[in-house]
Amino acid sequence: MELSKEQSKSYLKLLINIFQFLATSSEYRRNAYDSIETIQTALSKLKAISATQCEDWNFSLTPNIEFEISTKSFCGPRGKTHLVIGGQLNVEKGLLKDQSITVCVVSTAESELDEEQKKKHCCGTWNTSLRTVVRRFHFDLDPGQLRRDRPPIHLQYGGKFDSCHLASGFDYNYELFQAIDLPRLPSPPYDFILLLDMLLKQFGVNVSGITQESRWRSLVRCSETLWLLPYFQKITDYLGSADRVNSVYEQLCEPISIT
Amino acid sequence: MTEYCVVCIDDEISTGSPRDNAINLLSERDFLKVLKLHPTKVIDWLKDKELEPDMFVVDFRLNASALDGETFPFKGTSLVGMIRDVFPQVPVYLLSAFFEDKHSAKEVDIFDRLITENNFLQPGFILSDVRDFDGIKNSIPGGIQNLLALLRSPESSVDDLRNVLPRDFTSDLEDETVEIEGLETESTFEFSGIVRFGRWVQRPLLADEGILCGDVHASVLLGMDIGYFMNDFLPSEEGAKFVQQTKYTGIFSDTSKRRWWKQAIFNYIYSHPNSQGEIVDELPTSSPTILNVPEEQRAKCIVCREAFPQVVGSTDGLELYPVHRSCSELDPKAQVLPFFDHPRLIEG
Repeated sequence: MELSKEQSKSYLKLLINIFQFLATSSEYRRNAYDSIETIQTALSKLKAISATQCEDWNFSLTPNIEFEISTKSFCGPRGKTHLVIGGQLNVEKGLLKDQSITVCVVSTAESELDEEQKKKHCCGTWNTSLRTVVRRFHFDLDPGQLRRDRPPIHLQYGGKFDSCHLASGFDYNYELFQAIDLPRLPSPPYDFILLLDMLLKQFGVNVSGITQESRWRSLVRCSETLWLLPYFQKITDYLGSADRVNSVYEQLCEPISIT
Repeated sequence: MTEYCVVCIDDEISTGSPRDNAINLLSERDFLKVLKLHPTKVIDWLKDKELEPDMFVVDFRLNASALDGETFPFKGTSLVGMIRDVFPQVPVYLLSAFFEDKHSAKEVDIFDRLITENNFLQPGFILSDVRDFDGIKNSIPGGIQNLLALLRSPESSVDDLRNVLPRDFTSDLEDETVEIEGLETESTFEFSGIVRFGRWVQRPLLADEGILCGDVHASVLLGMDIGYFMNDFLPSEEGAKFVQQTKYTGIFSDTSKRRWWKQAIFNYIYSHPNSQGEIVDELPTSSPTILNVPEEQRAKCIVCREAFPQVVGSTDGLELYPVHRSCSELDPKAQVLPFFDHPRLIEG
């Protein structure tokens, strides 16, 4: 995998197009109106970054965007469950320095649980006044990772938790043991649109219809070309080489080259 | 110089009343050609259709004073349908002694703008709006590009404007029939492209928070107390740059509350020399450092009095205050247009 200034520029344009699409989509506005403020602010920030043509910039999705998901398909107790997506990225000297996209599932019990329910659903800490983080994943792109003991592009479960980017007005409960930050699973690079596309399709939230729109699909294809093509190309090339010594995993732990 | 003609429909014409004197001032002071009509004479005048005026100003209460022993039995709202049928391209303003909150939404909506007697007395107020409607009229043949030019938006907001502009302006500018429930009967009016565009600029573009925002919202984005924003920042050299880059100066800006291009505020902060190396995350958090706003002059949340409110909210739907997201909530009943902000409620 390689990173270039052109790629960072293309990514900025792509991000503007994604947030522009979300901000103007009537389906999104109708069904996810409580996150539209974040989307519009994100768009304004990205446009301002683009206008400055500065080579050093950062971006974060604050507060994170949330979608209520149906708990019928889960075995947990009755309550409200949200899919929460956030993240940040830093660009230095025109190159993507790091990107971390966080996906959480947070639940709040609708009513106080009795001991039997808590035991049955393994959710001893759930209550009506707390939002409990029941799942948390990081999709990270970390070109600064040079130690070769973990892949620079990886998926991590759990990790260090900070509620500052989550919706305010709630107390959060996080028991995924922050100290354990391994394994880092090799993963294709997921950017905001690839991740949103996958999550909206899997969770079937009320804005999932946007993933069928031609404009959205075209943006997804752009992202695939930008991120997935070079990633899989490199793996395929490596697997096809006759003189390979390292395993694919070891190869994926090699530092990302900068061009 | 173009001489514009304004038709004032009022039951107090030629009575020497304060409002009658104000109407006279329009011609004496603002050099407008003013035609004063008693409401009982309107129907005949519309039939004759001697000239096409540039604006109608209709008094709200038309049933007080008689002319030749005849009084008009209805309010100003009942004349609007008749006027629109004959002059669909001419804006019709409502003159009222009351502010908007004392009228029903229907009463306000059938007119193109509600003006108070204070507005009416303000030198150049009517003339300015008449000129701006004339600007719309002259720009319509040039299409949407020319209409957007009337808003004098910075380059950074052109795309937003195109997105926010209702489809009926961008697809064509033909006359369109819009049904609005009148007061006495259900009426159907013809709104021309001129009137529709003028109405849209005045509301929602200039009235609601969205791609344009008001003073309070601008001060929140800059992380400043509103008093500091108005009295210290704007008059400063730095403030002059801010005004030059972000202030709305398009049509109706002379007769509306001051507005700011929101994207231009983002661009102003991101391109500020002090923002280099400064983490620009949430604008209201980063801006005070970038602009060296003294600690005691920074914006505070109206609810908890803590620093860094991120948004604006209202208790009554009218006055806006700085507030944290967590100290307010989105109004679940609000109908929000694309690129306009979802109004936030603050518990009184």
